[in-house]
Amino acid sequence: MIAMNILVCFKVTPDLDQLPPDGWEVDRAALTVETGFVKAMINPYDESALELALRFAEDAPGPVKLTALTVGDRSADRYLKMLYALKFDRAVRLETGADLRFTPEGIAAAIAAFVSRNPHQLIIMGRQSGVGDNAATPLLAAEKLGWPCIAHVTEIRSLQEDLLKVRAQADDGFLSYAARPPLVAAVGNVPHAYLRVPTLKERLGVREKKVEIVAAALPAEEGAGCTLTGLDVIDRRRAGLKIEGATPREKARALYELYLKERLAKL
Amino acid sequence: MKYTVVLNGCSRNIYSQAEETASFVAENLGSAPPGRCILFYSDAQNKEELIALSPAESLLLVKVKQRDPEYYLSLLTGLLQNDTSGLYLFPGDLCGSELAIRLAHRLGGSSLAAVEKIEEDGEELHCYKTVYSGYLRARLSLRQKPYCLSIARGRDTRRRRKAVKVLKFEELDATGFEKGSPLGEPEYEEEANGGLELEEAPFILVAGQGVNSREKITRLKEIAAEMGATFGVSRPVAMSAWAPLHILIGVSGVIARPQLCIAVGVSGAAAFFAGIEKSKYIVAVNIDELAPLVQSADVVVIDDYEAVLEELCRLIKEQPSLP
Repeated sequence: MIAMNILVCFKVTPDLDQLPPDGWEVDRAALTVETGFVKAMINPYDESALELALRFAEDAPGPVKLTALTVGDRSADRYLKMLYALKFDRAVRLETGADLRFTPEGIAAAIAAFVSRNPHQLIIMGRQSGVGDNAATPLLAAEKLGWPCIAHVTEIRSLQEDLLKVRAQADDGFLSYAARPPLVAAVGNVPHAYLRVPTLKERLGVREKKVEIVAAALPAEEGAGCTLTGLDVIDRRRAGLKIEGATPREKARALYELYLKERLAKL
Repeated sequence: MKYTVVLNGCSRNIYSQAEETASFVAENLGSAPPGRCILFYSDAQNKEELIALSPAESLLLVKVKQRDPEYYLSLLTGLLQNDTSGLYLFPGDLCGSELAIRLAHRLGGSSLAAVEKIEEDGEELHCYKTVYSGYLRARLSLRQKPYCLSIARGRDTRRRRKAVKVLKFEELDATGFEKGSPLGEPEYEEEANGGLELEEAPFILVAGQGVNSREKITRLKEIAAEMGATFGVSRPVAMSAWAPLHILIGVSGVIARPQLCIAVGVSGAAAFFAGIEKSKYIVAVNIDELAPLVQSADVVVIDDYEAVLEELCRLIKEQPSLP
């Protein structure tokens, strides 16, 4: 039986929720924000994509080969090593010094070029990542490859060899597909899909494995991309009036009498 | 600039799609020539009702046999090959945002999702949208027409627009369209009305990760019902499967617009706050004085949420006229 090759693309991003409200300072000339001191993490949607791929491989009736791919600098290497420990067969980084924040066209083209040199039947990746918030890379990768795409995926499993069941969130329900590869699955909100953690033994077992690093100049945006021409901090502060009281009950009563009673009556 | 709005009439959120695109058109394209609307619908729907929702004077109603994005995309690609619109506008929901990005690629144009505002400037279209997980607002400039944009959700549509009178009306029956989705026809599974109900609710109670167990989430849901509030949760709660996905509030879920929002145990990350930002009045109940939501709320109770909510519920229930 021929193995199904699955490519899982992920991005390492700063955990922006850790930045304090007064920590946002925009460099107006470069249109950048310093986030280097914030803890890095795998983009949460990509984390779900990686976990769904591992579950798929465990449950599939035939052999599956998993490749993890990221585009970026060497800060991603420790995550790629961790994915080896989780039984990914290949861990690849497309190295580029480019500003990746608002370049979904370029990243999608780099993914499509990788797939054309390294055939895969299924691509799984998160629907969107923070920083750029473009929500476009998986969709554009599918378009560039001429593959169908299912977005907002919540479940992927193998029905039989070469036939997948894919469930996806729609605006007022769910859509379930019986689909044949090739296919791009853009993963959305998936409950209970946090990426498993490798054991120390698993980590030690792959310490000699090297991340594959491929130099990649992102293809030119060919005019279809966008240019960042402004960046501002959003001020969301409101009054933040604190309710005083000796006990929770007292505070609840003050909240109700002073701020809610009248408002509730008008609803 | 000539524009076309594309709406998915097969989805039960068609009213918010129509309201939000109409509001965007009124605020951003008021001086543009009258636009056109393409509206997909199914056999079972009331056509007169759909026609009344059109945000443009020219309307093409397209009857379809299935309701998934791949199918719409194949149809649109064929329909728009010789179209001269410079701008295609889509609602900011899941389907609309996907269509905007993929259609732009097929038409050789450029795209952006979740756009709040646009400014046309000679050869460029400047688009404003939130980035950095909702903490910053960017201006991104597009050069290549046609521009395909999805609109940021949660526009204030409380000031109802004037109804647009449809002057030109066409119909197309595409149920025989055979080059539809390469994926075949998906099974549609209708979801409880939670998400749509939350979008329109005047009073909501939202629980966050600080409510740290399934049992406590269940109790808060009961309290919400007793207080007359509609219940929602933040993303970490939904991701723990303590509540269904359709009541997830935030940038990847429901964008609510209530008169009153009470948020308990919510830290207030920007991606969550986008879901309650349109609330007229926000109350935060949190044990952590440093939680970001403390600064973004109108009024704050720093204390144990359980005791505060139980007492508040009792007081509201005693109020003569419940919401």
